[in-house]
Amino acid sequence: MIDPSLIVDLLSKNVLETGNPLGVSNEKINNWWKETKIKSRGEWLFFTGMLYQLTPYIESLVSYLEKFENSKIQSILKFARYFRFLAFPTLKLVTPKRSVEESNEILKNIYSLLDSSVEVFYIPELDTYNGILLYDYGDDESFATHAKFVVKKLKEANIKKIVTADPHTTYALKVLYPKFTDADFEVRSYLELINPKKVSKNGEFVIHDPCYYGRYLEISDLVREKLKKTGINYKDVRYSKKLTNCCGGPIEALTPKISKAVAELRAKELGNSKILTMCPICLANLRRVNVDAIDISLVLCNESGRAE
Amino acid sequence: MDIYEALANKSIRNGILRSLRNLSPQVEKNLQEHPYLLEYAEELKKAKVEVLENLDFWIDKASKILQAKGVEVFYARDASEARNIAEKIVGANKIVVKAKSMVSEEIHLREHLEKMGNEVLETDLGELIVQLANDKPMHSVIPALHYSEEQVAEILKKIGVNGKNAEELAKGVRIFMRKKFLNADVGISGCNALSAETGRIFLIENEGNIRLSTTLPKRYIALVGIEKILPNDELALKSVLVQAAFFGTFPPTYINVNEKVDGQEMYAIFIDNGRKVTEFREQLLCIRCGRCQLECPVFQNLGNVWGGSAYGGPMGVVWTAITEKRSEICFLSTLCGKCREVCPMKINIPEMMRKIRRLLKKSFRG
Amino acid sequence: MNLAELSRFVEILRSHNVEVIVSTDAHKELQNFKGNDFVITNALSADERTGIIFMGGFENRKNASLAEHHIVVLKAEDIRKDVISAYNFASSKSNCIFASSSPSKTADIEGKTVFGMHGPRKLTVILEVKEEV
Repeated sequence: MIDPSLIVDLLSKNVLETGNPLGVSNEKINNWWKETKIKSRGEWLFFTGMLYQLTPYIESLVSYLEKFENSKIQSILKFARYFRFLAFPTLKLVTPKRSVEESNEILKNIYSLLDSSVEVFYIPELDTYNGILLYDYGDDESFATHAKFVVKKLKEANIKKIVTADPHTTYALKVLYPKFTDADFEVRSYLELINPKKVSKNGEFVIHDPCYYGRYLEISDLVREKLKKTGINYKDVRYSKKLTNCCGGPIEALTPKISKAVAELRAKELGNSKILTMCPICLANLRRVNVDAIDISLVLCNESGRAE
Repeated sequence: MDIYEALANKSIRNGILRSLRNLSPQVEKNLQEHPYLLEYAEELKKAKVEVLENLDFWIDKASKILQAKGVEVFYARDASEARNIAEKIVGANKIVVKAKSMVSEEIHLREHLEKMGNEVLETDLGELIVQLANDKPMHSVIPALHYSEEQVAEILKKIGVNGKNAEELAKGVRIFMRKKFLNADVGISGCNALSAETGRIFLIENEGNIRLSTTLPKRYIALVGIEKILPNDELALKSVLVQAAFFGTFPPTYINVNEKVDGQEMYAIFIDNGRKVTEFREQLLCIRCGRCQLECPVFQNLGNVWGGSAYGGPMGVVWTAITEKRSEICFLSTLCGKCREVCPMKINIPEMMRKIRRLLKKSFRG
Repeated sequence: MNLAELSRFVEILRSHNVEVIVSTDAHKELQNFKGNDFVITNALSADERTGIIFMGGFENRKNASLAEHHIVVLKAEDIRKDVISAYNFASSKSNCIFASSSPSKTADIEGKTVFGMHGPRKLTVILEVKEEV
């Protein structure tokens, strides 16, 4: 296991200094909206929490960390220095452009699905990292500080209703922020708000419920209702919904090898159909074991397809 | 074995997944056919919460009733005290037959009694295999799930048991162990539940080794984790039934309700070992069915190697924080929440994993 | 207990690999068992839903645990609707309660079930009913 103190300290330092776990300003990674017609007013504020944007870079980081895991190098100072060196400029170089484009494509699709269903708007300056990693690693103080910063910005902009793109951001805003701050927003996952139409997608899909939608927020049935409307041919495995199994993603930074082994087990359970994911971390981690997986937003409407 | 060796050891993963395939549908079936078990679980949780809020009262009550029935009662604050108490009762050069007990693993009693010159035998087949292999139980209910039939055959040769398959091997162990049971000086068991109303100790099993271990020897020691106390027989019975159903084998083949009888000396050692003062009190609701272990994706890859010296897996990480103050292993959890979902007591293990991390984070900064 | 309930109970026991003999005269049935490798215990009660059979007494427990073949005589009128009632009924009649629901078994080697691990290899229940069923 990578020394947790290294990861936790770097993470909280980055988030508190730059608002982002990679220590990079949001403008550098948040580009999806530039090629989309976004509205600046409406009923529901679209809030990505930066998870889709960050994931391609985190994946590159993880593939580097994997080389150090369980090696003696990690215990010496050199590693700590190397770890800091792996900051954004380096990461950007080693991160496949394709992954970044795919993330943008997913967010564009989510926005367009929302746009045809509700009064949605987007303000890039308000969109911020959700802080969930700090919470997961038990750094409640830093998480609270960050959450207060995010909530203050949203409140100053007079935001009341928020629609999110991924399960971790949904859980953070809907469940955790009210516990750690004075947040009282109405929060929904985009999957709850959209009204998808019939689509023409071939092949059989299998659903991989993310833990946060399956167990923590319990919206798995709703997702299936929406899928039914599209006419997509999907199936469920024994371990789905409340009993879904983890993709292994949450431990990828501390132990990429075990994280991958967890993904392997999950991939085996899911079988040979194309896997539908609803979370950037699930998508990335399952793909580490070479499965055919696609974000659900890319199959929920016809216009998409470029990223398929 | 470290976590990376465990990861590379396919037999751990295969054994766990095989057990999961066998048991998980059984759990579902048990709850479908016996829906009242879910009510039992709820009642049990409520009772356990109340007992834990007044633990001193209940320990006192249980001790008094046991003493009134002629049981000699001890209280061990930690593992070393527990070992010393047991050592004094057992003495040296004795034959000791042990029922499988996690609390005994926790205090490393077998090794200690062996050092004192006793012949100590684990009587549960799986635990015996682990003992002979100098290994650690890989799961709290199925300790030898990571050994193949062939490997078991090799291991059992140490006690002169020969056989080609499970049937023959079990038969050989039965004959070997029967002689030990008949000649044993002391029997030791854990305790699945203790009724503070009657001082009765409830123990479930399938093999019959607990019944033999606690009936044949003239001297019987029950190791009782203080969280096992329940107000009455009814709740104690419900507790063992829920435990069996959520593990997967229901009804249990045997239910033993042990109490002081004429002709047998009986000792009860209450074991605290971090329980009373723990910040993770919710974990004390655990009835050790082992379901969170089999269902956990990290445990499925690492087995009990992901744990402390006795307990592993989701519940084991928290138990280890309670009993050994060892806790960095909590970072291997994905916090996926499956353990809480399948737990009969709905223990919020992910939240406690985070709490352990929170406490550790303070030590990083320090 | 009506006929349907009784036959369901028998079915449950049989699904646990228990040999069941239904008879109006348990004593007569017992005469059919020859040899000396069996132990007979009179049951105190049983649970209709699970097939758990409660017995009592330290000597009985010792003998039952050592037996190769355990024969239990159970009166149909002692069967209770649920396991708690069955336990309470047994406990009102004896100390040192113990229960069995199947022959001794283990699945500790590769999950393969083997009967007769440490306890009785065979469990027979003679279910005594009042009239011919």
